[in-house]
Amino acid sequence: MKHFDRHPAEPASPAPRPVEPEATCSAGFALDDMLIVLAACMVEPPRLRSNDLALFARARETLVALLAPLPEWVEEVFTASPVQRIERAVHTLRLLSFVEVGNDEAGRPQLAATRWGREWIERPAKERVKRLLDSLKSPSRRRAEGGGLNFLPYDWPTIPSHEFDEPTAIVTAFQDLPPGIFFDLVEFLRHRSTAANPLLALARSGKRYYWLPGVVEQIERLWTRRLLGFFGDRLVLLGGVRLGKSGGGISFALTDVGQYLLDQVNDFTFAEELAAEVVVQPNFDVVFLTPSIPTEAALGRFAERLGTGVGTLFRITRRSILTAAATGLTAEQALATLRQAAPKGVPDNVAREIASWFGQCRRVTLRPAVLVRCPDVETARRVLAAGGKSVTLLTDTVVELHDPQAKPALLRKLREVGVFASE
Amino acid sequence: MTGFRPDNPLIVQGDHTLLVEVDSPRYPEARDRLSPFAELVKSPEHIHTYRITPLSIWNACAAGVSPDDIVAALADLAKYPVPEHVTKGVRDHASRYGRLRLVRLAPHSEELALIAADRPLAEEIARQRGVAPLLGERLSPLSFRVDPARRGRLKQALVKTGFPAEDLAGYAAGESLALSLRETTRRGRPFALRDYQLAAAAAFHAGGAEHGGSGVIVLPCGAGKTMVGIAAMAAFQCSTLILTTSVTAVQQWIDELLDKTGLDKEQIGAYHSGAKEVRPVTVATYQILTHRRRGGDFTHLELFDHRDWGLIVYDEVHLLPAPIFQVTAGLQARRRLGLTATLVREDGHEDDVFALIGPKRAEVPWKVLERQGWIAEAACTEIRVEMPEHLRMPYALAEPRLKFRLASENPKKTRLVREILARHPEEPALVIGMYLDQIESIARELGFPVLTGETPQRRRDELFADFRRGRLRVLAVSKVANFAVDLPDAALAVQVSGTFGSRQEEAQRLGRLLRPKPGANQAHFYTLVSRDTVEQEFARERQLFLCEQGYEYRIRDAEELAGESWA
Repeated sequence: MKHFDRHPAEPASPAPRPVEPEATCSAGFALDDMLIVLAACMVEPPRLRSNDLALFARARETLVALLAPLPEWVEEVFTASPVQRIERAVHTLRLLSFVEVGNDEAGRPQLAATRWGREWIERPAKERVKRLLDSLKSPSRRRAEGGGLNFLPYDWPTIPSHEFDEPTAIVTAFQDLPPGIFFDLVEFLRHRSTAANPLLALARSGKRYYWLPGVVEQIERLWTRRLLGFFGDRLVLLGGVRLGKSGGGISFALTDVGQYLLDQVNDFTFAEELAAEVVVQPNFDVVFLTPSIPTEAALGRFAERLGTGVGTLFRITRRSILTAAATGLTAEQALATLRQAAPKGVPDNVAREIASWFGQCRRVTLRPAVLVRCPDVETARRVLAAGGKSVTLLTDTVVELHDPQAKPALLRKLREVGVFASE
Repeated sequence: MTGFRPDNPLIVQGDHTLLVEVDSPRYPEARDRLSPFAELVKSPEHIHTYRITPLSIWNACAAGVSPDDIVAALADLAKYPVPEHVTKGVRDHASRYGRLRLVRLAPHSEELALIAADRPLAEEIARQRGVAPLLGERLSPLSFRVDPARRGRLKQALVKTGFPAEDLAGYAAGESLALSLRETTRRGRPFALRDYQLAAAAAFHAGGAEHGGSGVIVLPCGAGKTMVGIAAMAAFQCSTLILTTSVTAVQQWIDELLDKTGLDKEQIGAYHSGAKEVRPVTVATYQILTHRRRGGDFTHLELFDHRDWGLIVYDEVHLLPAPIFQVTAGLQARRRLGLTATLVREDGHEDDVFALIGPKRAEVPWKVLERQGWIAEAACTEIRVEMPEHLRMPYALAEPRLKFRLASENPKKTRLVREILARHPEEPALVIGMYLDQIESIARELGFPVLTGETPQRRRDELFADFRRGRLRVLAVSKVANFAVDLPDAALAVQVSGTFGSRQEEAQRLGRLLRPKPGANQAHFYTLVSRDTVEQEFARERQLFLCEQGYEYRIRDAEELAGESWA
């Protein structure tokens, strides 16, 4: 029987001590990245390559340009280059079914927002986060039943839940940390994998598990990887921690959001976004004085995007309104959105013009038809008589056959009355 | 959000545009600090847009503003941190100004030299394809001889390469001319220049220093650009050639000079199709100077050499025609004053104005003068009227150009003109149109006279005089009234048709109304447009321009106006 005790010469690491970071960074950037990508998918769905349904480089660059820059040390540690951030945001949004692969008018694949995505982005900031957290904390997500975004970010090696309640063990590992106090990440992981490793306890029970390594160091490494995975792909992703740079290393402090995810508190505070302050100019420019991604997404449905963040972000044009009208948006909806976003109101000329452009829209239907061109009026009448209800006289000498499928029958009848058709 | 200062009025965008919140308490400060180095692009109701360009930076440098001042102003006024590349761009462009200087070889010599600040720059410009042929022999590692005749072309070429030359070669003094401003006009009214006019003239004069004496003054229509020109003449006390846009404008310059200065008739000449007087002060049209004889030569360009002009005034410099640019390139030893309401040229030749006339010396936005009561407030209303039933099919089938004409000449507009005039019974009104048939028909039906390009000068003068004296309340005018027609009491304009989407025309037409009005100081500008036609689209282009100048623009349907108060 193997002994799963550490060698006396290598004692378990002590509990991590609080540190004072030199620089800090809010870890919710991944959530912001998701919002930016989702808003873009709502406004101008980025094109995808047909072969692998990945973003075209140009579409990816466009999205990259919208991202807020991160400190270099965060980029390095979390392999969060702008391109990787976009890829991760797209991946997560797909898992959440907030975006899906659709086709543009020419049938080319594109990444479009779904109804769930639209609903989600339109909620207040705290509610958006809470919905994600509540979903992750649900029993089915903790058990990783089905696809989508589960509580645990990894699925290999698979640990059967009846053998080891991994979500609870992960929660326990982070739960002891007091909120708002920074700890060195490496010290924390070392301590948890050596002194408080639930997998080691399992190994010591004497029962054998196919997924559990047989060597202490490997078990410690496995648990370190699991903790680190949860840290990076859940706590950091959702803003559950603040990141710090301390000495040469990385530190972190649990936030309210993190505590909520770890079941330490029943509610959390969340810095609400600044109320969107938008000015609609009489020259049809829309200026954002404060950033608001949900408002960008809402206005993007009927205005041409010029930028992102703050400044002149949109221009309302006849073309943008007609494009919106084609998707079923009405003048009332567009104006209501503008009025909601713009405390100073919508200039009269802009409101009038928007209503006027919407008013110009009409729906027509296209259907294939067969035209029978006759040499004279008399022949047209004979065709009309032969065709009966399946044909209509369009002009004196042109008859329309409504259903192209009925062409053979019409040709037969025409032959019978001595009218021969050529194509 | 780090560095967010919500109370500040400015957003600096990455594309070098600046957005200024007008409702901010710091707006007046922002406007005053930005205008020396950024061009006001548009000024609609709530947010004004400025743009920093190489030219705007060089204009600032020419006025003595340092890049540190510019960067400090941006940082101090901005709501959010200023993008680093914008700051860098400002410093980069500013560092290019003044690295090349154009000077006289010797104090009283005619010969010029271009001096570079360092050897690499000298080598670079010596190798520039557009610049090298304009340089003379190399005088030293840093300097080149310059033929005085090529002074203007060289400056043009250097601006295009991104290294503008600071022209310190000075000017010919020109014939002297005693010119004093009156305190009481000949017509018996008290007269004094307004503060902003004095400031503009002083900025141009620059105390007689070599860095003054050439440049552009930007003032809105109705703000008295003519007065600034006259003040500059008084400052320099020299013979002056004034170039303007039409015969009527020539006459107005002469009237103002006679009315407000000590000059007499014999000292002022008119030079246009109907007169060829060359006197110490000569006022000429651009048209006569660019007139070609059959062989293709410009017959009248020699006017520039007729006298030893000390100052040349270019009225409406944004309309300066290409041949005048060419001549001006050869006139760099003369002082040059450009007067305009906008630096924006429809042909994009702003850099030529900078190189050949000079940098911007002063600018006062329209809205500032409106608030101070120097120009009238204007309410702009577009009224949409349906096409008559019998014209709808011809319109639908017409070619695009004819479509525009059919829509413009919509006969239903006549009734609307009548209604508008009836709603403003006391106000002197202009009915402005592009198509002669249309305005003649409207005038005939409603009973007022028409002024077109074919109206003889004497008849024009009579009509203008009657209009000014109030004997005539409504005058129909064609495109001829677009430029420099001084109708001081027009308070209402009804535009029945326009030149497609021309922004300049819209500005000029509105400009007819902007002179201060007694009482409420309020003018009304109506544009009649056929609904759901191409005219509506073109009207929107023009509408945008007015909105961007800060005028409220209302749109109304003809039908709904019946029960509505218009004023």
